[in-house]
Amino acid sequence: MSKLGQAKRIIFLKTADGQLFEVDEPVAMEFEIVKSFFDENEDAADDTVVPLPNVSAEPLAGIIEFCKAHVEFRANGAAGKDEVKKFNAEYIKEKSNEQLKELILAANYLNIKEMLDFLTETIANRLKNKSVEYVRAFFGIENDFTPQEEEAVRKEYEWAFEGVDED
Amino acid sequence: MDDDRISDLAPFIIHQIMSHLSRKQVAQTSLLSKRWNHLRASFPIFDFSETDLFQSYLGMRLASNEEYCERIVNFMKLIDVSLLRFLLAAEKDVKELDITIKTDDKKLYILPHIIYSAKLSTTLVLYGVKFEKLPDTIRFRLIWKNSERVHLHHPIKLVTVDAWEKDHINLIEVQSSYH
Repeated sequence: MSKLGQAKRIIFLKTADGQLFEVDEPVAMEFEIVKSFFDENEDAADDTVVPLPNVSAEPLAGIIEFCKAHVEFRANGAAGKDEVKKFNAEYIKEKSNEQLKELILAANYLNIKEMLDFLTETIANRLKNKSVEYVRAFFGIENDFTPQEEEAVRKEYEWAFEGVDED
Repeated sequence: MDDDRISDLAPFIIHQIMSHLSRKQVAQTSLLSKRWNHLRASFPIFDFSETDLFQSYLGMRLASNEEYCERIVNFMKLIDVSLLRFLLAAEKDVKELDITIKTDDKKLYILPHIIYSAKLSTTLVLYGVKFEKLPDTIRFRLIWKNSERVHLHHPIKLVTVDAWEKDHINLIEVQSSYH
């Protein structure tokens, strides 16, 4: 399929649930973990499969979609423009909280800075003005304060709880 | 969804999320759990407003003198405690510390003693603060051998860096006026 020297290199990635992804090199190199894999194994064969034991297929597909679009934005000089904002807004609109959490775990593991920035901001937007109980449920945090300790912290930060809607 | 994984997000990610939340909401995360209380304490962005201590801006305007003073005292305590907690929580990781305090009436913020026991590895930058005691002999234990620089910007009242010694810096008194 390739003319010598002209071939677009494809990187093979294998997810925790055993799915094989074929990703264009510039997109795969957005993943710091993949980049350092090839930096450390310079003589790795072109068809080397990079194992990603902490990522499953669904979030990886979402991440590839995001990174592919952003690589293209950069190539077209569109970085930072409305086009990008529009894409990001569309991208995140349909994602459930669960999907968002899977994405941030995967983006963290793959070490993709730009996407992490975007995802942390998105999560913050979804947590804005939410109650402590909501945030606990969102992150699956177990409240390990004793009632006395909790009361003491609440009292200390009394000012931060004024005018909060309990939803 | 495996909840354990998401609640174990790396501190820098949680701090990134916090950086997009309001002051009040960041403070509220102290109440989530012990781990989050610690994460909030080591959140490296401080943002204080004295209006936080009132129900509303109007509440602040209408407060009696007595109440106002009490709130301000609480506010200064909040800053002290926050700084102190931060230095304790971030003890191992802090390389650079840059403290800039701006106040409306050009008063200098009195830096709590804890600053002397922070373990910084490279840089300390201070602006708009003064030390609790005249630091003629106070030695900065925080500046270790590999420290690169200490910046004490004007207007720091009374102090500037005099000389390097092996493990510490002596601070001497100078007359520097505040503009």
